[in-house]
Formats: sequence, structure tokens, C-alpha cells
Amino acid sequence: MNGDGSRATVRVAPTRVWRRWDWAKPVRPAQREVRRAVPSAETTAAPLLFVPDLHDPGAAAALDPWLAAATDHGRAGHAVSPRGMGATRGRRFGVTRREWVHDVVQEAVALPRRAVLVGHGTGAWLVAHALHRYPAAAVVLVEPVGLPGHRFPGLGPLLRRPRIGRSLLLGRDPARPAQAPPLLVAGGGAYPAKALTALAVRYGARGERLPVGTPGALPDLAPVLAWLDEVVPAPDAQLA
Amino acid sequence: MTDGPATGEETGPATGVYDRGDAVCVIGGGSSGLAAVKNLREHGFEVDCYERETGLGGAWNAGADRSPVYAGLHLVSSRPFTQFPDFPMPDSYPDYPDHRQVLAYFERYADHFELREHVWFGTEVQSVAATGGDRWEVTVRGTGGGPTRTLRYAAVVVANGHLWHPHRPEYPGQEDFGGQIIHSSAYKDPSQLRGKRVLVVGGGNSGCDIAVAAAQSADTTWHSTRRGDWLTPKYLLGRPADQLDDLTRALRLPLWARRLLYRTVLRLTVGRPARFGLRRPEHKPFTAHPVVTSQLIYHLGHGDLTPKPDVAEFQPGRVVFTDGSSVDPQLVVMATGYRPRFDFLADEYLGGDGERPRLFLHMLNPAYPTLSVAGLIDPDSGQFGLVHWQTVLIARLLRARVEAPSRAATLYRRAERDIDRRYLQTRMLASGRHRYDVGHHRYLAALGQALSGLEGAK
Ligand SMILES: Cc1cc2nc3c(=O)[nH]c(=O)nc-3n(C[C@H](O)[C@H](O)[C@H](O)COP(=O)(O)OP(=O)(O)OC[C@H]3O[C@@H](n4cnc5c(N)ncnc54)[C@H](O)[C@@H]3O)c2cc1C
Repeated sequence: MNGDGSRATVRVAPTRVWRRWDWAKPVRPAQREVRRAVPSAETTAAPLLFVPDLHDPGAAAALDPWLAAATDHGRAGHAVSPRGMGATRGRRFGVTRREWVHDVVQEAVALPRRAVLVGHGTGAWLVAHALHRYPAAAVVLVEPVGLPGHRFPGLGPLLRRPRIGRSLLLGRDPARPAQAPPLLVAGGGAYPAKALTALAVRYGARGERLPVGTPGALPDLAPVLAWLDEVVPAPDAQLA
Repeated sequence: MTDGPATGEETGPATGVYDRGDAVCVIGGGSSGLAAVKNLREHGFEVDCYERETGLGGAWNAGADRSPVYAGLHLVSSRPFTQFPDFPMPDSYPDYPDHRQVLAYFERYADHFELREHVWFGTEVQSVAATGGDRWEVTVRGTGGGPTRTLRYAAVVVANGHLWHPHRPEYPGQEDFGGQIIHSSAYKDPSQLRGKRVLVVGGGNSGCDIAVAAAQSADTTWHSTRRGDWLTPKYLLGRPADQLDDLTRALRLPLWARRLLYRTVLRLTVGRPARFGLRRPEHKPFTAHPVVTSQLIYHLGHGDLTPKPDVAEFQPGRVVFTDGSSVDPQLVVMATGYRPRFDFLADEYLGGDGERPRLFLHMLNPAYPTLSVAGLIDPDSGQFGLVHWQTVLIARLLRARVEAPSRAATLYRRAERDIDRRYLQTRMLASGRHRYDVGHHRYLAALGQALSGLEGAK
């Protein structure tokens, strides 16, 4: 499933230079939780910034298996719980999408070099929005929820966090930015294939199915890491 | 990197010109040059950036001999206006970072986007000349000396900054004054002022900053300004003043209502200028860029400095003002601003004359479509955010020339038509100082319009 050929259907967002509310009422800083794992050998490869599913109570901690997979693969991994999620203190409800995107971008720019953004579930929805705020090296949307193709987060999550639900269902869809990094849309066994294709076409992205061990577990990141080695190879790997 | 680019084909030993193919040359490694390198790279261009200093950061690189930075210099525009829109300053930064934080920010920007490997430090551009086919020959030389090299590029982005060449107005009798006269660019820290009788000339942001520094450390301080200005404190109603102003815009208040609100808030919080011995501003708010200072009023109120009108003439040991009064300073600091200079570029390339380029969006001369200037603006808010979009436009335009020539041609036609357009939020005061002034809303709208003209199908 390679969406590259179907550019014509890709909806590109006009470049938005206007940041009215960012100027008038910038997002106030708040506490974030970041879990980090760095490979033993020093590397100049693009680091990975994971954004967890906002409906996962563990938030960043739920992505520990991915951090391990990244370091095993020789890339630094960082997972962020934006405000109100995971181990952060402070407001849990009434957080806005703008604040979450701010938190993701803040962590991305704090990394030593241009990062790869990897979002899971509703985290992928945040990443798709963050794409308009930060020129990532590459972007991976894993089992995205809240984007065209698979918008509905499910009744349970919707009732537990109605504010996110409202943004997910009623907010504007992030289109592909005019200057977009390489994009991959990936989903495990239970993720609807149609949704995956639809989104890949819409973003002019590559689509990929990921193997899953046990049902409900995080999908295996290996194919994603292999794709990254193709599109953003580590400079030291190139030399070798 | 400290040598010249090694790759490239030498077209013949007789000419010694290295052809860099489709690569783009960026002149200057300040904030504008760095943004140009990043955005050109992001749009797939090979880039050689030349920086005469050994470090990046331009004006904010305090170690550079031309740096206008002085101790205690903080941004006058708050963070959200000043930062690059795709690389926000960290949450740990204050609303108004100081010059060291600004430099550290540029260094992180350069590291994050791996820009340094494209910058040739310690290398000065000596001349830029058009050759056939809209290409450019750029002659560079190490600042430490050595031979010159000439390279050929597909395009040139001039980002040499316009706030480093001091403007020094001449006053009658100045030669016989006898005291010390320095330009604000030579002011570095308060030890230069300590124990002296100091006159600071100029009511801009630097002038006010230095007057405050003098009020704190000099023996006696006078501050001469040409006119009454709207002195805006850094905070109004509990938030950075520029954010408050943009809140009134986001709420779509009309200009008259914004003016009324601004006057009222200033009157209620700061008070009448006359109470502090200042002249009443004769112009309406927003017809000149704001002068942002919280401390000037404070020190006036403490009697630490005395306001004075414009300088009329110098006499031996004395300075006479237009109201006939005179003072006897030992040191005069001229905060009289800067003038742009393009020594390496013939005037015709920028239209107009040397000091007065005539450029569409302050960037483009349609007669030389592959030459552009980044950073030649004086915004009513922060600089880097606007220059980011300038350089995105440059990159997209250069790409469109190849991929969508008709769109590029449309933009160049617009450029010819609108070359003299200014982007001010209202009619501005006539003064040499305002030639590059832009209102950030108007200017961004124009940049956005130009960008969207280049997007979409071919
Ligand atoms: C005192 C002061 C306070 C300021 N405060 C603010 C503020 O609060 N907010 C704000 O947004 N802006 C402020 N500015 C405006 C400031 O000019 C911009 O912030 C910005 O730094 C300009 O960047 P630039 O890259 O365009 O120019 P510069 O920073 O001047 O960089 C130009 C670079 O080009 C190099 N160069 C020049 N000629 C050549 C050549 N021939 N060959 C090779 N290299 C060359 C120079 O060495 C320099 O490094 C302030 C400026 C001053 C002077």
C-alpha cells in the first residue's frame, strides 16, 4: 500500500502563517512526564519521540516496550505524557488540544536533533496536528484514532474523557502540510485495513500493517524502525 | 568548517570559478541566515552559507566585533512573537529572554536542524555579481586573509543584517566638543558610564535602555529625544504588553477602539508624560513602533535622569538643546540607530540606491529573480518569526521557478506591481528611521498570500 502514486487525492493544507491566539494568549507551561531510553553506543540517528494514546491511563509508561525496541535498534527513544496524563500533576480535565500539541512540540524541540514523531491512537491525532508546528524528520501514525478513516475513540473512552472526545469528533481535521516529512501510517491486526488505506491516501503516506503478539498489546515496532532506516538513515550507518 | 566548499567543478584554471550547480548561497549566519539555510535545506536545496565571524548568531553573538549587544540587553518583543514558529523557545525561558538566552536559542536551532555543516565561518563575501542565466558569481575570502575564491550559484540570499553599521548624525560644533562621543554600538556595559556625567541621545529602544543603565550607574544622566513617544511598559494588565495588544486584535477591536484602550490603560497605570517631564506624544498610538521600557519612567520618577529635547549644537565642553538649555556631559552616547549596507552588491541589484533598496515585500527585486534579501525589516513585534516565513517564501519561489514556472511568474508580476507597497498597520510618521517598518499583521498577511499563490497544483 503505497500512497505516493495517488498524490492527486492528497489534501494539502494551505500554509498558515497566522497564529493569532499563540500571540494573544500563548499556552502556559505545565508539567510533562518524559521517559527516555538511549542506546549504549552514541548515535547521530534521528531520535524518536513517542506520543501515547491519551486514553491509555499509563500514558508514556505504556510505551516502554517501544522505547526498548528503539534502543535495541540503535535509536534514542523518548515518550511524553502531555499535561494531565500519566504521572503528571495538575489539571486532568479541560485540557485543550492546543495545550497538548504545545507539550509535544516543546519536547520535540528540546531534543538534540530533528526528531521523528510517532503517535499511537489519539496520540497520532496529536502528532498530525503537531506536524503543522514542527518540521519533524519523519512521522509515524500508529493505529490512529480521531483522524479520517477512524474517528470514533469508542464509547468508554468518550465517556471517560468527554473533552478529548469533543475535540476528536468536532475539531478540524489536520490536513497534510505543504512541506511534509516522510509519513507512515501503520496498524496492527485488529485495526481496520480500510481506515489505514483511507488515511494513507489522504496524507500521501505509506501504509503498513504491523504484526501484533497478543491481542490488545502494542503492535510490534520492527517494520516501523525498518522504514525509518530507509527514509531517515543514521549518518553513521551511511558511512559504515 | 573554516575552508571553502571543496566540492564543485572548476570550470577552468583560467577563470578559477567553482560551479556549485543548483546550490544556493546565503550571506550571513545571523538569525535570518540560519532560517534561510534551514528552510532552503528543507526544500531540497544544497546551501553554502558564509559568515564573516567565527560563530553564529549575528547581532546576538556578543563576541563579534560588530555586535550591538550590551550588558543587560533583553528582548523587547515577548517570546511568542520573537521565536521561530516551528522551533518555539523552551517553556523555561522568561517572557523577555536576555541576549545570552537568545544566542543559546540560535545555537540550539542550528544544532537541532544540523545547520553548522553548511556554514563557512570566518569567511567574508566580498562581491556578488550576476552572470548569465540568472546565476551569480560570489567571491569570498577568509577573514584572516588568504586568497579569494569565486563560486557560481543558482541563487543568492542576502542576510547580512541591517543593524550593525552605525548611523552617526553630525551636529554643528561637534569637532570642538572635547568630551567623548560614542555610538551606542560601542556601549557594552555600565562600567563605561560609572561616575561620569552622561548624555544619551536617542529615544529608541537602545536609547532608553542605555539611559536607564546610565541612571543606575552614572553620576548625572540626561536623555535627549527628538519627540514625545508612547513609552510602553513591558507588562500591561498583568501580561506582556504586545500580547495584550494582540489580544485586542484577536478580539477584532477596530483601530480606534484599540487606541482608546491603549491610551486609557497607559493613563491609568503609568500616568501623564508631563508628570515625568516628558513631552506629550504628538502622534497617535500605533503610528510609530512602540518604545518598550518599564524602567525609564521609574528612574524619571526617582530623579535619576533628566529628559531633554533634541540636540541643537555642540560647544566646547557643552551640548546645547533646541530649547536653549545646555549641559556639560563628559560622555555622549549616540543611540541614533543603524543604516543598511551592502558593500558586496552593486546598487542596481537591489533597485533604488545603496541605502534605499527598492524591493517587493522588502525581499525581492523582480529584475533579478534569483536574488533575495532576508531580514531587511523592522517589525512592530519580533523579527525571527517574520523572517522564517520570508525564507520559506524564498525557498518555495526558487523551487516553483523549476517546478511551476507559471506560478513563479505570476508572483514576479505581482512583485513589479506592488514593489512600493508598505505593510504598516496605519499611516506612519515620516522619518528616515521607519523605512523598513512593517506591522506584523499586515506583513504576514502579504507573505501568506504570496505563499498560497505558489501552492497547489501547477
Ligand atoms: C540592540 C538591539 C536589540 C534588538 N532587540 C530585538 C528584539 O527584542 N526582538 C527582535 O525581534 N529583534 C531585535 N533586534 C533586531 C535584530 O536585528 C534581529 O533580532 C536579528 O538579530 C537580525 O538578524 P539578521 O540575521 O537579519 O542580522 P544579523 O544578526 O546582523 O546577522 C547578519 C550576519 O551576517 C554577517 N555578515 C554581514 N556581512 C557579511 C559578509 N559580507 N560576508 C559574510 N558574512 C557577513 C554578519 O557577521 C552577521 O553575523 C534588536 C537589534 C538590536 C541592535
